[in-house]
Amino acid sequence: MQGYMGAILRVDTGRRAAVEEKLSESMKERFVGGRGFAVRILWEEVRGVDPLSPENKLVFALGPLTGQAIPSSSKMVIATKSPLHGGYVDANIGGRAPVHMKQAGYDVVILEGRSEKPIIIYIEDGTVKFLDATGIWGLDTYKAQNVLEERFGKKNGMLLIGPAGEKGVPFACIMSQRGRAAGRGGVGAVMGAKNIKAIIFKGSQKSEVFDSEALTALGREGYTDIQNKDAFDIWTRQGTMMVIDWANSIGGLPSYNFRQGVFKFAKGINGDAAETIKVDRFGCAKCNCRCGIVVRDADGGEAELDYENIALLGSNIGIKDIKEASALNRIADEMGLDTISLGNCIGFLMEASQNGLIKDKLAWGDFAGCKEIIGQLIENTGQGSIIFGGVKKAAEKLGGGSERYAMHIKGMEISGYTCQGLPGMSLAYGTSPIGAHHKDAFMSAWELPNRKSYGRDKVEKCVELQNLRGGLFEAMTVCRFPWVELSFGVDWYPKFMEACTGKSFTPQVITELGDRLYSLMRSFWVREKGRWDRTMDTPPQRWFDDAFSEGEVAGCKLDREKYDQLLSWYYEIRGWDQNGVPTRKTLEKLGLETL
Amino acid sequence: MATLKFLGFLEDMVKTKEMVISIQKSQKLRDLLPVKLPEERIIVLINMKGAGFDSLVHNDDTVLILPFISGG
Repeated sequence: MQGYMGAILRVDTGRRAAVEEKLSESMKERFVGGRGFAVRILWEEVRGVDPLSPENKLVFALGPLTGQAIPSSSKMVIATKSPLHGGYVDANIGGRAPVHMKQAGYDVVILEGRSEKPIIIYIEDGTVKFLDATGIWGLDTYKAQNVLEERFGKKNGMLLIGPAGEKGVPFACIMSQRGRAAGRGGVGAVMGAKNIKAIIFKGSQKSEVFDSEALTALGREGYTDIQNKDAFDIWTRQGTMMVIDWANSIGGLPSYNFRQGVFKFAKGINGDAAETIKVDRFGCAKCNCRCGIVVRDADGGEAELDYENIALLGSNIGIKDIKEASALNRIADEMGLDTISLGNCIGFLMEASQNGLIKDKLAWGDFAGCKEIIGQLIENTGQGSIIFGGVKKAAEKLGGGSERYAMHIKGMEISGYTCQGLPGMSLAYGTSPIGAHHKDAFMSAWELPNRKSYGRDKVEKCVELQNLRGGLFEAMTVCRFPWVELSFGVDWYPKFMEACTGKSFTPQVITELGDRLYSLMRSFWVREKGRWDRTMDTPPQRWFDDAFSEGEVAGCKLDREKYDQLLSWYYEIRGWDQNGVPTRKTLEKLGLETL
Repeated sequence: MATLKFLGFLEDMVKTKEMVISIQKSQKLRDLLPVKLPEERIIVLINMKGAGFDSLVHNDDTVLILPFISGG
């Protein structure tokens, strides 16, 4: 198969040594790229280790489509054993780094060990340098990016961590270009534990593709098609911020720690509000959509907004002003904190405060209080120390019934959709392979016309979407936004893949790839946790017990028994047993090792 | 009075977020729209229940017309 650089770079950060390995044909055929490579490597090489120990590995992986001249192809998967929940996690990032990593000559970079002192890893065209990072250790991600750009210029791809990653916050992320994040599950904490402040990629190489002429022609047509889409204009004006009104209108916008799905003050934080304070736009390499909305925030800083950030740091914590939510978004990005987990943690603290479980009052919408908490969180002091390990651990510390509103699945805080009225979406969250995240399957739009149903068709759709989004897209590895947000046809992608790799990506191939990846990710979880049961795939109590009390969705809550039936069907379709563990037969069929 | 709400790019096409219309007798949604809208990958909800462009709209109904997005 073509479209690859054909090389894995293995970096021992402790010994400051790097070796190149050949990317095997079998890896390409069976795992395709990105998430496929990452989970395979973690399965083989990371077993029973402490996530923040030198024995854990951090895998940066690209797919055959990454960096090709097709729409929105600058995407990368960063995977590890998560310090947040101890299972498999991967996070995506765009910007320039994915393209430059490929041009530097690698499909995969694996970071191992732990450097004695803070370092920058500089990778250019097959050369690896270990540079002193003492001078930038402690700087926030905006300032560190500025310093690095002064030293290395802008024609490269930089990934870096902030104080959160340095201090081991288990939901620290890896940032790039002042606002882009590989957000979830603590990939930044693992990078920090290895004493790596930044990785810089630069290169001039190109991958060989199967049919260059066809791929270029398809890419050109694709860019034009996207520009002509009805949603192109609003997308370039508002990006994902247009989703605030959408989610609010269907009763899915997390508000007051997921207690409500409708936020009365949504007009203050929606896409229109963002447009009024917009100062710039940001786009990734190879993308003509440029969805990054840069605004002037309440403290005079510049923040790059996304729906998730504002849903979690706006409505979910009762913040009604886009400028204030933007400032919290920017502070989180500077610190290198996952905005989704952070918004959950603050919402949890606010509810705990309301219930008299914490000493100092933290009211809904308390902007100054939020900033103080973020400072305490980074230093693991005061009330910030309650949420240092995420909401699951916070509830274990606080007790007093707080686990009822600790909004997580598998130990990962829930992203920006509350699901009391969306059974299919709740299953997507429940079975997401990294913890409660929406990237693998987004069921809400599909199930809206029949939202109360718990039919098997919803389970089938969830698996189909997971195999497409979480399987094919995570493996190819490209941004899914043109497809999912602009209605760029999904049928473009098998054509891109065929012209790039020379392999035909039929529906059967795509399904098998998805099945293989999901069973392997689940196997990793089961092995690392040492046990598994259905509760690990079940949403938090709040969605079953606390019916919405506001808006047209008032009264909606999930039915536990019916959710359990969805889960049974899900396991059956995946070929897992009724505890959610892949069966020997399934693993053998997919060519995977048995547990 | 029936309320029609338009989200995302549909708002751009109709040039308003919301229309409040007085309806004498039930009418098909498509006959109430000020401009022709695309019908593929569009969600129509009447009083939060699944509907279509040929569904009947009554006084006091709230109609949501949404693009089919996928939440990032």
